[in-house]
Amino acid sequence: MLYPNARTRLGQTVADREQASFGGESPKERVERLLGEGTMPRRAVEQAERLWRERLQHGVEMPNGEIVRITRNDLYHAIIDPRIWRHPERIALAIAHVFEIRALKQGRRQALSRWNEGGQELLAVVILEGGPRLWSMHVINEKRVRRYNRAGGEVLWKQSERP
Amino acid sequence: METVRATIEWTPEIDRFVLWAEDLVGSAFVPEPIGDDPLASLLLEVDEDERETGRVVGVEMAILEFDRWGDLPTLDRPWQLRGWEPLPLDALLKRVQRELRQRQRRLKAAQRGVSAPEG
Repeated sequence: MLYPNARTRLGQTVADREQASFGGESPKERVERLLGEGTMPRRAVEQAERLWRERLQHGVEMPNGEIVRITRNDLYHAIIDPRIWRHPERIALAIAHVFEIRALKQGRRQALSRWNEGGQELLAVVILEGGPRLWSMHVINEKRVRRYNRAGGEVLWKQSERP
Repeated sequence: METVRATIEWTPEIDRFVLWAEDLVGSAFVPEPIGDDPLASLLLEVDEDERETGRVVGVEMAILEFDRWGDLPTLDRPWQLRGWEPLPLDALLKRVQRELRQRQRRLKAAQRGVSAPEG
């Protein structure tokens, strides 16, 4: 029988050993490595981190009233696409302009989003983990919107058409 | 045959896994759901005009629960993690899934106060 604090220490030890043997990285560790290797622009990452501190860490509201939580690791995961690291505000824009939410497995949901940037229409798919928390977000095109419409499950929410 | 140099990004508490092709860091990409499953996608490189180039930037999936192996496309080049032999994409992902599932079981056992075997 182990004492509770010994259990905690044991858990951490096992976790550390497993992480080291497996070689996987958290999104933060990966971005830090890419910055060190010079394959990601430091200025862009710093801009994204500033946006996260000022805005994203407090959550972003979807049009249905739900607030999507975004951890720092979720930010690092999303900005790997240069279309996001050059415009990290697109994470908030995508969430704020969701027009349809569908059910997925394990309590996750798929949201499709459309917004306008300087006369150009952008589309995104946002995958939400239970909470809701941002699981992933990708800029897509019309062809893929149709693909996601086929793939997603039951429609849970849809923005009303404006007259 | 030339291999794809790969790394793994994983966020265990939400089972968000990505196998990245390291030589394509900095490429824009679009997700292509694997077998109509939005929780598993090939990440396909696109050029500045948003046209697909035919190269795969990565694979994003909820790996612990993924079971649609028959829907995973066969790619031309094997993928290689550091310290591993080059493997076809499905073989590599199956091996990683096995290891991650074992890891999760060991962590849960450790949190319950049951010691995991050494070695």
